Amino acid sequence: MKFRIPIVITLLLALAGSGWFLVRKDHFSLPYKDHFAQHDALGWIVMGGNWQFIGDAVVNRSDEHGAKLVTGSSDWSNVALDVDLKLIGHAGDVGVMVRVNDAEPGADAYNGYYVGLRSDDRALVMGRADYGWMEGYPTELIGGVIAGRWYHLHVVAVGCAIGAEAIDKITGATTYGFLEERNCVAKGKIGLRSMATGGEWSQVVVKEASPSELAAIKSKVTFIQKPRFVFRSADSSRFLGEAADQESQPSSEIRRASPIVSNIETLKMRGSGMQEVATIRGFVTLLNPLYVQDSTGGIAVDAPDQFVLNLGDEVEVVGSTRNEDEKVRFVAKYVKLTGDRTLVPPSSVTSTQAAGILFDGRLAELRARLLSKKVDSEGRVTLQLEDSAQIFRAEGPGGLSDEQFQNLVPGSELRIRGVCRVGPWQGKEGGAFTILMRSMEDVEIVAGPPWWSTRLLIREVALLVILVGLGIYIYLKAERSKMRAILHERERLAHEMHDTLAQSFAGLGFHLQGVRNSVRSGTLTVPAVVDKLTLACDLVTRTHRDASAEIAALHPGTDDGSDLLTLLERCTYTMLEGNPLPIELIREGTPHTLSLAVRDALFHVGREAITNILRHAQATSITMRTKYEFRFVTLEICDDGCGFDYERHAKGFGFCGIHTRSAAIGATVEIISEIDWGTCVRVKAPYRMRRTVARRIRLERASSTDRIG
Amino acid sequence: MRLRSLVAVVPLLFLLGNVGCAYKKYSDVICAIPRDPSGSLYVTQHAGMVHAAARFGMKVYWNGPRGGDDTQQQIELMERAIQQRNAGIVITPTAAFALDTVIQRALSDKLPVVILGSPIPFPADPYLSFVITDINQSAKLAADRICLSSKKPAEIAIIGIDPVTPGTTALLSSFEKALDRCNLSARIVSKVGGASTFGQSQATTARILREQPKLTAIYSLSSVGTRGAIAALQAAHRDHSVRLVSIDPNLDLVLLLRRGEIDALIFPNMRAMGEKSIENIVALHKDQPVQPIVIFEPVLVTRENVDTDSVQTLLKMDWREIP
Repeated sequence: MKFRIPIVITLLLALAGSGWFLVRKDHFSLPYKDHFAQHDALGWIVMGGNWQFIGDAVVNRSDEHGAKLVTGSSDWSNVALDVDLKLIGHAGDVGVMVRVNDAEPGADAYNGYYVGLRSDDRALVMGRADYGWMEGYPTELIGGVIAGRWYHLHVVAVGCAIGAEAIDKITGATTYGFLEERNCVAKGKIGLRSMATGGEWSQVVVKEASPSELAAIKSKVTFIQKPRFVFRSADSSRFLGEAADQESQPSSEIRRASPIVSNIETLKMRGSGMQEVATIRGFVTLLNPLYVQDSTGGIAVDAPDQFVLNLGDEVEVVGSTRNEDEKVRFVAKYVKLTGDRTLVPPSSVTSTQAAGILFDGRLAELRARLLSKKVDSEGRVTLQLEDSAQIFRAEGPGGLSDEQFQNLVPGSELRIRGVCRVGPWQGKEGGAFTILMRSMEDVEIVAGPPWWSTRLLIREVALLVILVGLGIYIYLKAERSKMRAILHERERLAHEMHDTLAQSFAGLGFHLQGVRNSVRSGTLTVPAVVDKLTLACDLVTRTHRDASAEIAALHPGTDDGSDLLTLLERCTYTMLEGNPLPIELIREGTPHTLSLAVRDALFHVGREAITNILRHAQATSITMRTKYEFRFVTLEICDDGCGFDYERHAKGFGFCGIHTRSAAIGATVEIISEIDWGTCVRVKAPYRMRRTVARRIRLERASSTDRIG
Repeated sequence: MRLRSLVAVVPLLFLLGNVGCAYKKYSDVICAIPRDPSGSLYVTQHAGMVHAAARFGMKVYWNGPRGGDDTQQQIELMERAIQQRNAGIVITPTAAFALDTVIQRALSDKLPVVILGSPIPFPADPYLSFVITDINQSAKLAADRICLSSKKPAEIAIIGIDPVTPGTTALLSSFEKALDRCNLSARIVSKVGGASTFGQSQATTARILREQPKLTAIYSLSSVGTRGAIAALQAAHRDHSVRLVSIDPNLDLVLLLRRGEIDALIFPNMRAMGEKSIENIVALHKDQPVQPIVIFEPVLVTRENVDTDSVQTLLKMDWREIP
């Protein structure tokens, strides 16, 4: 017992420690590779943007400021990060982050370093973010930063220096950059990031970096950058809109034909009867299918594939309308990018509003309960939802990992964003309208499913019934066991009374009968009568003493929690009723707390042994000894009396009771007796009773044998 | 027994002490939610806030919408600040009324809130203060500049009007009054509202230029609208005949000012306003009196004064204490 508590505490601490370690540790080791070929970005954390897989690349198709994907270990320090990337769109930058800490959605909402390719000033840009942005002097990229072209970026972070190498994968032109900062961020995760444009990343490899790798880059740069505050107007030529004309120009015919920009709502109301070419201007709210929205409404646009757009791009579309499934679509002949970075916030609507024509084609947000979910072979997710008024569907590309889909539990309250496509009625399962989600990031779990669903209730009730049944069974079993114990004890007492009182009374009866018969026949002399009566009186005295001892032992106040030997000594003195008999008590080892069952059994065994001594042994002294060992306690009761032949009396003298009680606690009994030398009863018991099945069977057998005997 | 009691009581006292020390009514972080956290104008506000917060041993958490005026993202950030018991919130609302509920929630929690930039209609509260730009002065500076540089009679177009943006109506009204005072013959020939984007603004300005051949000046209320207007003016070859005065400036517009494509920019003193917002929050925590409305005068920036120390200080974006 003394050792157990510290051991248990140590184990618990070790368990808690390892649990904390497992939770904290992000299970990433170097080298780390992710080629996205499995289309599962498990371990990547999405922070903003509109992410999806295309081929072996992960793609963000949104103009959102600072869209991020973060992964890796927060303990990564000196790393070399290699990645292929390309910019989608005409302005903004794409790149990677190293030593990222405290990242969250937001333009510069992280603490770490960023290395990227920026199209605005055609530069390799390196800098430090700390919920704000500082950058080194941009290094002009040889050949410029061309949208749609693959570049390879090699970033090495060692100590407080970061080297970067950008390679144009078409021309092979290489640009180097080097940034140093005092009191730098020493370690952190890695990530992919785009700023105000879309981007594509592939072949991410992170390895342990060596100083020689960094030195190789350092030897190629002409100056070393330091993070500095963006300063003064003359330093920037970004966002001027020159790039807005980069798209192919319209033919002069179309230009002449569409001088006036139509608003989308009017165009839809005029429907497909309008054959002439029209121009609309709006923002891209969905990419697949393409939807454009202006201040009046939104419309699906069939655009040629060569126009690569991002969410938030502002476009001018020239084309004409056509009807499809009673819906007006705009067939584009020409798309011109006129601006970007305008992410249209969704309108919060009710499901009934969404089912009306007013919000058809517009970006909307609504709350509903998830009824069911499914994902098709291409990874597109379909959700069936309902609120108090409508049943509808939400469709969209699957997330970067299955985890997002798996986390959606039917019955959950969701907030869904996406473009609203109204009608036609698609039956009970499809409902009145469909929300076309941009990505799985458009699904937000507001609350989990309620606990009281019918299925759950049935399950809970069934479980309750089983538990109640089990409880009743255990209760009955316990009651039966209690009753069996009472019967067993009663049987033992009957045995005791039979062995002691009944036999004594029988003997007394014989004596008195003998006296009566002798008196009747007149053959008995007075001295003989006196002798016989004296003998009978002795018998009465002994019987009374035995009865007193039994009663004393059965008295509930007998065990007051004292030491076992003290208890037995007190019991002996009670039995002696004032007669002197030397008792020697010996304790060996450190006393150990005994379980109630063991203590009770040992006490009764000891008392039985003492009763035998007082009754039969004619001893002049008694020695009681307890020996506490590592796992066992031994009780020894010895006398220096007349001894007996154990083989002859093995069934008597209460030995059956001694054996039964000992067996019940898994103890072993040793009885050594020699004529004229004395007797020793030795019981060796474990501190705690361990009831194995085999022991229980043995016990049952012993108990039944005793009863039969 | 005494030793046992001591052994039991000492860890308990230690634990209670730790819990007591760990529980603070507010954290030492002030949450700042601008309209555009990476926009250069707001970075000057960030700089002012960080420097003021450092004086009081506090920190600034800086984050905002990730593109477009996403009010929902501002609401979410405010909710988080309330949950985390930040020391205060400094917000430049993207919309006049949409944030009212969450602002009220913060005030109910006795969390100091500073509305920075333009006023929003909200009932007075001891924990609410406004640190705003003098709209009347801003309108007057713009009107005076247009009067000064335009031929008479002046014909003026106003673009980039976003009625959702707080203070827009008041600004327009002030501008018209100021214009009347400085040039009685001045006439506003066009007012264009709606979402202000580069493409829309370019198209709108092009239309106005077609319809108003005598246009002498454009007053732009948004930076994106200003860029679109410049593109339209250049396309129509009227960039030298039509004066362009803009509020809502940023770093890029200053470059265009240097090039002569913009006549003047009205700069709010965001740096000083950022500093004042922190001072207000700290004062409220110290139970010191706070002026409910503090008004800062904007600055007219032209090619002539752009390189002066006072203007350059205004543009300084040293948002971080370099260790």
